[in-house]
Amino acid sequence: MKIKRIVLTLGLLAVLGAGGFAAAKLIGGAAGTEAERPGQVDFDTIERRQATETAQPRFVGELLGIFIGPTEDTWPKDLQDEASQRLAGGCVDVPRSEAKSLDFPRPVALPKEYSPEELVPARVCSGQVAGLTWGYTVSGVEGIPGHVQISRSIGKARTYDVASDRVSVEHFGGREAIFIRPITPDGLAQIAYVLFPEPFGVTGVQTFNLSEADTTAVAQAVAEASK
Amino acid sequence: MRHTPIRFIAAGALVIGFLGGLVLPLPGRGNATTGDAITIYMQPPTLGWGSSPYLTCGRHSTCLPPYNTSSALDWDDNNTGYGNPVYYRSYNFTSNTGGIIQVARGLPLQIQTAQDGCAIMAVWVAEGTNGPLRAIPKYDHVNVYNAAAFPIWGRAYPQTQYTSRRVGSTVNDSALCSTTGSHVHEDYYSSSASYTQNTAYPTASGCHDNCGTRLNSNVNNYTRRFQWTEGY
Repeated sequence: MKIKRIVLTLGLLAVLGAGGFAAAKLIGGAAGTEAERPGQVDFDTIERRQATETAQPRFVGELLGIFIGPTEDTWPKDLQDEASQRLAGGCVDVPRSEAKSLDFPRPVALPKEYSPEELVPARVCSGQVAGLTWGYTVSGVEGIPGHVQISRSIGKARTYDVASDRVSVEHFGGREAIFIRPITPDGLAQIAYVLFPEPFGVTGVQTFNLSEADTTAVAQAVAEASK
Repeated sequence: MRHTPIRFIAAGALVIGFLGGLVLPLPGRGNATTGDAITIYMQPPTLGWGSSPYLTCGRHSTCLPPYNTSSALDWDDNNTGYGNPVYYRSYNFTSNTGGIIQVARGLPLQIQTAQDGCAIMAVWVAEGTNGPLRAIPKYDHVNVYNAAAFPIWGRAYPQTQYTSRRVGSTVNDSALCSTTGSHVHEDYYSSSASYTQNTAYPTASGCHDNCGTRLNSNVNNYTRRFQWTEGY
């Protein structure tokens, strides 16, 4: 009898302890304290989203005078020839001051959270000024590094392997541009693109791990700088 | 009066259980809270395992005059063409002496394409199976070859466990990127792991043409080291 009572008492205590533990977890979970560790990522979700996107029909075609296709062989012949001739003579660095014709009329005004990367030289390919670039890093989705790459380059064709339903023509800061949205609005681990047609070629914006809203904000700043 | 002690003990059990629930985390979504120390030693990313690629530029940002010193290393792939294999490579250690365990999971991602600058890919390394992002090794002049996530196994020192997984291919991104010829500019992005780099490598200011070769399967030739405590 005594042993039975001890066992029952211990069992009761264990149940009460477990109940307290569960209650704390329920309250903590409701308050959002569970699984809120910084940088938590779900690779399975990222892979599933990518697989769904890859299964969609690809965009091949011209918008605003810029041709986009998944590979160079999908481009019109004249654009393919132009691109290969440009690379045939090799590309070299030149000081950025020698590519002023491609520079923005005014600086790109991004919020201070966007840290500019080290400026790299301009590129000249086959004797022709080919492009200028600017890079930025920022705390992106889930606090994981996000990246912004801006370019002003010659040539009117791009190799982007993207689903057709991500591509549209939109207005940013009063300018028309091709917008290739991230796969999902949160932008987690995804690249998005914005392309502004220019007389010399294209002003391009690439973002990685930025939400669609943040990419839109960057595109607006680029549009303002390029007017 | 006779029942008072058991009431106190019962209340104590309830309170202790509640406090324990507040303090102790639950394992969820692949999060182990073992407190194990995990260390990953990144290895040179080019050529087959057991080869000795050329180091073509010491620690640098861009390998150009004035050769600013930073954390990246340039690795040749002994090939004049492009499309050559690039590997995520590391030796992985855990303080857990229970044999070989999955310490992390890698996910190859294209960060930037050559259309607007350098072609850059990275591998997101998350703790356990779907835990917090801990480390982000990055590879310039490279496109993703195999985007599938892969396990990173580890074991306790002095036994060794390595991962060598083809994740990318070199690409000609020279139109808008300051680069010449097929090679890999290997570096990292900051994340939550503590970071140390191997000081045995020269800096770009002293070495920017041919800095010799390094056996890519020698743990002592690690390029950079990531370390964290599992669950914290």
